[in-house]
This record gives sequence, structure tokens and C-alpha cells, in this order.
Amino acid sequence: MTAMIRSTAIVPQLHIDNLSCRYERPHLFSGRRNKTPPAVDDVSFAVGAGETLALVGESGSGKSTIARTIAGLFPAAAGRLRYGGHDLTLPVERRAAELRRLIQIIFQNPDASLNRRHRIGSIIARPLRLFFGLSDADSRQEVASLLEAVRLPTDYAERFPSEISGGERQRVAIARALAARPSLLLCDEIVSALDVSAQATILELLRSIQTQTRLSMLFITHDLAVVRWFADRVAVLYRGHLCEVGPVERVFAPPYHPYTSLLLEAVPVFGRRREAAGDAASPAVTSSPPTTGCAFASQCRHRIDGLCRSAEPPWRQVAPGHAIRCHLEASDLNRITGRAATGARLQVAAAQKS
Amino acid sequence: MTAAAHDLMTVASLTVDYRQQGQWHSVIRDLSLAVRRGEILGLAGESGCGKSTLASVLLGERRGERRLRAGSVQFDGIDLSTLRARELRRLRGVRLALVPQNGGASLTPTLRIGSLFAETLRAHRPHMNKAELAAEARRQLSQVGLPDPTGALARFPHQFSGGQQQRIALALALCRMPDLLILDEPTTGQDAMTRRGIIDLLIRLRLSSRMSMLYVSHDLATLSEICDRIAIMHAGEIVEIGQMEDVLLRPRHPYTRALVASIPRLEAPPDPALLPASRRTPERITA
Amino acid sequence: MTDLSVLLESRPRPAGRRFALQRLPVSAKVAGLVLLAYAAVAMLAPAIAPYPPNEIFVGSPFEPPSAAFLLGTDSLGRDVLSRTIYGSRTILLMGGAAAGLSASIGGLLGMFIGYRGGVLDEVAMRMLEIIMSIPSIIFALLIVGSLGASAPLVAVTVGLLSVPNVARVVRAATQSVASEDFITAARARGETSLSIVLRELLPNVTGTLIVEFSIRTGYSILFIGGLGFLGFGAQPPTADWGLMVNEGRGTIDASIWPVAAPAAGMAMLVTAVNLFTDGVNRLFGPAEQGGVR
Repeated sequence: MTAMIRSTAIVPQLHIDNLSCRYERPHLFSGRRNKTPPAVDDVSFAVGAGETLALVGESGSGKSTIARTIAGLFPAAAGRLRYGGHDLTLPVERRAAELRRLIQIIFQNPDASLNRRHRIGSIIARPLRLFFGLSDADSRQEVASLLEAVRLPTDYAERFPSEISGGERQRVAIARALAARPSLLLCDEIVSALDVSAQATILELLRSIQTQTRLSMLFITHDLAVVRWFADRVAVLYRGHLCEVGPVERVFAPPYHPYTSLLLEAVPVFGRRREAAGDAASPAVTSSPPTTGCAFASQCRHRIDGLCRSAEPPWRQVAPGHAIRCHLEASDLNRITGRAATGARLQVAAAQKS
Repeated sequence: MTAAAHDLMTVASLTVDYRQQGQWHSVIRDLSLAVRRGEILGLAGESGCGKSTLASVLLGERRGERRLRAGSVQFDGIDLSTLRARELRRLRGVRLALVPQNGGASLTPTLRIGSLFAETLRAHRPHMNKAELAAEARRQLSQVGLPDPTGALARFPHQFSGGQQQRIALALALCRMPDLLILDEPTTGQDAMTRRGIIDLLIRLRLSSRMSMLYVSHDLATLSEICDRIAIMHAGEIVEIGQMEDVLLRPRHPYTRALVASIPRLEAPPDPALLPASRRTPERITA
Repeated sequence: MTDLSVLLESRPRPAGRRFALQRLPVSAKVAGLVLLAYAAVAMLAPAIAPYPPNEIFVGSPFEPPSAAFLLGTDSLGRDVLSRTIYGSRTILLMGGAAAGLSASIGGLLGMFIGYRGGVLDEVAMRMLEIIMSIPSIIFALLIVGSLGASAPLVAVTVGLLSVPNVARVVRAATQSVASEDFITAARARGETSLSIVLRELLPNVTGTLIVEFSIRTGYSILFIGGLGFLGFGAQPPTADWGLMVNEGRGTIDASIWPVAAPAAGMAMLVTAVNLFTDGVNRLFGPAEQGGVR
């Protein structure tokens, strides 16, 4: 489309191995650290070149913490994080400029992520100056082409963030990220605060940029419907634990992890009034997750008493590239969760389509 | 215009102006709308379309940099603009209730949940003693799916998560048993599971009571799950209104069509116009 | 696609930006005019003062107001009006310099500790509190008394004494801004702390800084006047309002004008500064900016 969004020559891959993160504050006087359960516990995944991995979970599942750790804004308690040849365990202040440029993060709320005292042109020009040493005069053309790339009028450069709509503001945030010519984009709930039409526009925009640049994306969301047609692969996170990873078509088809199944049921069915309330009405989250066994055990409808609460569930390969972490066998999961309302609903839809 | 017997609240040719930096702008233009008895009416539109303003005008709110330039709002035959502040307050407390957007902020931060309920309930059920008040509060809290209702009564609002605060605000509104409940974006900003919990509660209410509701949201998929009728609002006007199925499955207005097309769905890919090139062809399997 | 997004996204019309000062309350506008008048008088002093301020016996001592000496003369036969006009220069210059010093140093300090937080914040705040716990008049007398009284030294001393107050307020305003994502985004880009403070934070706390500068101006003027009165400010024969009041107070029976003129000038100036501060605070204060105070 434009010069600005061409891809970088090397497209490295993101590898996260056994990542754990912990929120803790050393006590002011004793220096003793209070033990809190980890916000992210032993999470591993990889994002390939040009790929979109959706990280799905509720608030408090640790998904934003993972993004912040990759960006160097939050320390990892344990684990190996690599991006191409770069070590990601360093905090952002100690990372090489090249690495900071390659990984860009976009936040949920553009009202907060754009400095409201700066004009849009100056917001987008900042990375150009920082990473490419462009002066304000030199960057004017690039800013214009970046605005075009996110489909905003070029005269927006003169406006302040308060003078444009929320969806447009998020596109400015995307333009700022693209200005660094990144190869990995961390998208932290970037459409959750937007109207549905703005959501659709943003997703479509990101997709078209991605097809032109082979940009990799880690797309964080709580809404499965958003990523169904957007992501290549999906990772489902529950209270810091991964419970299912796989290609999007496989994750959205049985067998489901019991938690994935619950999340799917939470997605509203468009255009059909519901005549009965679901039985999973109150996902009562208890104060702290269990320290032993499966993190989801206390909420699971298919819990095996005596096993799930005491033993760590194993990863089961249910299809190529598709793994579910559960004590139940794939065939059992297929039988139990495949019959659930959502499974049936998706199968009906799939049958209608073919 | 006289209110038909089956209309609980009628809005007739309403025009509302807002003052911004000394100048008046209309945010609602010549809008007419009726909420029927016992129905759930969905009011959908995007941010800035005036739907939250409408919700607060329906409640008879008068403060703020705002003026009602034309039209009337009638609740059960009573013109809200003729009411004195005290009468309006009584009406609002008993028959009309609002759960505002970001309901948690509407909870007095210095009061325990128990006191909040006692205050609200005492106004409506003066005969209740302390134990009965507490029992009623507990019943309402468990109805909205709040874990440990007994313990919750002794806690302060900030000790709950955003989703829980929203549900507490909803429970407080429900314990007045209003004739009309206005919900302003009750699920916005909540994650999928909390949203499901709130929707399930509203569905149970719909099945068990004759309460009318006006559900204001930009989330059409959620609206479609619980609303009888839906009104689509754009730039201060209602562009389309009708039965949920008619409006959402057979939209006529181009704006409604565009809105419907942009809803993320599990069952089917979005409108081809919104589907990126790589996805218009058969699905890619990356495994 | 583009058509659709145009149809769907309603763009809020750019709010007509009005010059901020136009939105000041009337009292503050009047006060602003008074301050402008003061500034004009101070700047044009040589042109409008009828006599040189320090020249003695331009008239006989203690002359009452007359056409030649509008406010009379003092014990040394100097023209009170001329001295009062020149005195406005001293006080505005010293007060402004002191307030500017405290706002800039205190502002920078407040932004830094508010942004960095942690141990630095804890230590810096405790130190500022210690300084603030010492009565400032004692502090000032100690410094000026030991280093010798002179106008620049007094201005710097009074300015530095206000640094902790400004720093505390700016720190609080900064903290509420520092937790926002645009600061996180700047960190993720690898901006230095200095550039985050100056480029990202400063534009968001300017309102607070303006209010603080205004508050500190009023405070400094009073304080400097007080020091002058005690003899720890500008030295004779400088036309300094505090000094003039002190010099004239022994002979107040002979003539009230050498005391009344500078005192009235001071009272009106401080009142105007405070009214203006009030208005500015309403425009830029914490309620407007959502800051914490």
C-alpha cells in the first residue's frame, strides 16, 4: 500500500517457554516478599512469522500480563522468552533499540494510550524520530502515508485525539505502532472498548496490513466471537494456566476443553431470543485458585472427583497442532462437550454452510 | 399524542440540546418512542448517538448542561416535565429505576453493601425490620449471582470487581421492583463470562416478572438474545424500530444493515465486505 | 468498506477551542486587568514617576499631598508617589522570580518523583516534609542573615522555600497521569525518563503548574514584603514597599502617606493575585484535570 508498512527483512519468531509471572510487593521494612499465586503459571506457546495467535481468557486470566512481559514492561518470574535471536527476559529499558522497534504493543483504550495534549501528527512522528532519526519535517510525508495506511484523512495530523472518534483514535494508535515497522504486534484487547462497527473496521484493517507485511500478531481478547474469523491459532487461558491451544478451526470444533466450551456458550447467538437462562449463570470466581490439581476444577461441570483437584491435568494431543490440557480423554471430551448447546449450534451452522 | 393503554412510557417528538462551550447542539432530534408494558425494548446505537442522553431524559433528569427544547416524556400518563422535584424523586424511587453505565460508580463508596440495601429497601418497605431487610438484601444478591451474599453485606463497594459492582447496582435497582427498569450499557466493559451472567439474570427476570425494561447497548448480539423489540438510533434519531427478528434479521435501513454486518459471530463469517481477502477463499488450515 | 466506516463512525465535531482566559470568571478578569496595570506601571516607571525615587529633598520632609507631590513626601523629602511606583518594580521582579524558581524547580522535582515512584519517591517525600516542617520565616532569616541581605538572594531564598510545596502538588498531579497507557507506551518505545517527563508528562500538568505559579506569586510577594519590613530584604535606599513601611512607621504621626501608599499597593496587588489564582484554579485546577490534590 505505502512505503511505511513494508515488512522488515528478517521475520523472527516468538517463543515463550514455561513463563511464570507473579505480582508481589516486597514488604517495605522486612524486604520479605508475600507469596501470591502466580498470575501466569508455566505458559508456553510460539507465534510464527505472519501468524495471528489469539490469547483468550477472562479478566484476571493473566493475558495482559503475558503481553506486558513480552514487551518488557513486566518482569518474568521464570521461563525462557525469545524473539528471533533476542532474549526477552530483559526489561524494556535494557533492550536494544532494534528489539524495541520490532515488538510494538497497542493498548485497550486509545483515550489513555494517546497523549491528549499532542497532535496526532506528532504522536505518529515520535517513533519515526526515535527509531529512524527522522526530523519533524522529514517525517511529515511518512505520517501522511501512515494515516492513509490506517484509512484516516491526512489532515487528521493537525487534530488532537479528543477531536476524533474512539475507533479513529485506535487507528491512530495502530499507525503509531506501524511507524516503528514492527514485526510483532501485541494487541491487548484493542477492540473491546469500541463499538461493533469500529471493531470490524479495525480487525479488517489489521488483517489487510498483515497480508501485506507478514506481521505477526498476539491478539488478546476475552471475546471468542471476535477472533473466530480473525486468528490463525487460539490459546485459551484460565487464571494463568493454558488449557487449550490449536488452530482456530479446531479450537472452535469439538472436542472442547470444558472451559472453552463454557466460553463458547457465553457468546450470544445473534438473532435468536433465548427462552431459558443458562445453568452456568454465576461463574462464581473464588478468591484464589487451587494450588494443586487443575485450575479449572472447582468450576468444571465434568470434574472427576478425587483426580482433578489433586493431580495436574496432562496435555492431550487431540489433532495435529491442537492440544487440550484435561484429565478427560479426547473421546470423552468430544462426547460431553460436543453435545453442549454451543457445540450443537456450531455444528448446525457448519452443516448449513456446506 | 395520547398514550395508548399498552404503552408504559411514551416519548413524543423529543428534541434535546446539549451545551458545549457556550453553544447548543441537538443530541436528540424529534424522537418518538414507546416502551410497552411488560416488554424488553432494546435501544441500540453507537457511542455518541445520544442513547445515554435519552436514557437519562427518560428518567426525568434535569440537571446538567442540557435542555429539552421540544416534545414530551410521559410515564404511565404522567408528563415528567410537569412533576415537582419531590414527586419525581418518589416516582423514580418506586416505579422507575436506572442502572447506569459503570454501575459500580453509582454505589456510595463509604457505605457497606448492607447499608446501601437497607437505605433503598426502607424507602419502599417501611414496615420491614432489620432481619427482614437483611434477608431481602441477601435474596436479591444471590439472585444476581453474587457469591457469598451474607458476607457481601458487610463489605464496601470497592472490595468487589467491576462486574460484581455492576451486579450489585442491578440488585439494588431490582429490589425496588420498578415498573420500568432502564439499563444503560450494563454489560459493556464486562468480559464474556460476566456478560453471560447478567444476561441470564435478565432472562430469568423476563420469564418470571412483568417488568418492562429499556436495554440500552451497542451490542446487538446481546440485545437480540433478550429483547422483544429493538430500536436503532443514529445521530440523535431512531432510524428503525420493530420486532427484534424483523430489525436484525431483515434490516431495512442501510445503517442497521451496516451495523448488523459488523457484528462478530461464531456461526458465520462476517459480511463478505468485511472479510479480508485471505478469508474470502476457503478456510486456511494452518495445522 | 470505506463507505461503511464513514456511515458508521460518527465523528464528534471538533470542539470550538476558545482562548482559555476568556473563560475566566469576571472577578479573575478584573484582577487580571489590575495585574496588567501593575506590570505597566512597573515597566514604565522612569517615564511616569515625577521624580527620581531616591533623590532626597525634592520637597521638604513630610509634605502633605499636593499638586506637586500627589502622595506627599517622606522624612527625607523624597516623593512618596515616585518611590511607590519604583517599589512595584522591586516587588514584581522579586515575587515573580521567586515564584518562577519554585514552580520550575518544584515542578521538575515533582514530576520526576511522581513518575519514578518507588524508593526515590519515598525518600524525596520524607526530605521535602522535613524541610516543610521548619517554619519558613526562620529558615529565610537564617539564610539571609548569614549571607547578607540583597534582593536576588531574598528572591532565590523565598523561591527555594516554596519548592517542597510545589513539588508535592505536582507530584500528586503527575501520579494520576503517570499510570496512563501513553506513558507505558513511551516506556515501551524506550524513551528516556527526561523525555517522558518533558514531552509526555509536562503538557498534562501545565494547568497545575500555572495554578501553583500563581499561588506562589501571591505567597512570595507577601513574604518578600515581610522580609523587607524586617530589614532582611532590599537595602536602603532601594524603593521597596516593605522597607518603606518600616522606615515610615516611626514617623507615622508626622505623615501617614509614606506608610499608607506602599501598604495599599501591596494589599491591592496581593488581592488581585489571589483573585486571579482563584479563577485560574477553576480553569486548570484538579477538578478540571481529574488530578488529585
